[in-house]
Amino acid sequence: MQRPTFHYYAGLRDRPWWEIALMPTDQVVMFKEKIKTELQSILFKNQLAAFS
Amino acid sequence: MNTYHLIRDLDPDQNQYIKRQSTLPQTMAFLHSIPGLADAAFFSCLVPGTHLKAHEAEDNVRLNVHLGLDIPRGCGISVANQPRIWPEDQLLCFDPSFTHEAWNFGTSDRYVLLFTIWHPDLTNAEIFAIKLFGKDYYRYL
Repeated sequence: MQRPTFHYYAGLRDRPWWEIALMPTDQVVMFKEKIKTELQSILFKNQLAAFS
Repeated sequence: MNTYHLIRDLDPDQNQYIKRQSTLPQTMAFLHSIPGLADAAFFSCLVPGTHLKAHEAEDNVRLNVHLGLDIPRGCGISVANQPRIWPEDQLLCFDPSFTHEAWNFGTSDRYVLLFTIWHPDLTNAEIFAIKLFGKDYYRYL
């Protein structure tokens, strides 16, 4: 039996892409490099198995 | 798509996520500095030759946010037929209730940090109700 489709929209649904200033650009760049380093540490430790 | 979960509130085993705090301190600090951070965050790995077919969420109580970490040539994402490429210095944010798809037609893995934020139109009371009732909260409204 086909599941009925139910949609609920919390608020404005007037655009697919949102331009929200969640964080200044310089902080994004700074964090990005640190996060990439941490991601590399996961990969180097062969914890890719944790990816599922 | 392969995922490595960092935050998943609905998961009964929270211990493995608490460990992330010590192994990935900068990643977790970044996530917790995001205003309106919702209840999911993970690393997403898309291997070459993968095309995540068009799909959509049932609701838009959460918006999806992407931080591109390693984006080989030949990767992209499209929401409501509006394609984008992950920028070097900005976050990508979209409403997942619009049909969206992603692809990696490059030659190496694509890595993105994906997390959700609450829709800015939600009140604190609504967010509380969503957390209380879980996925099917809107059936109680």
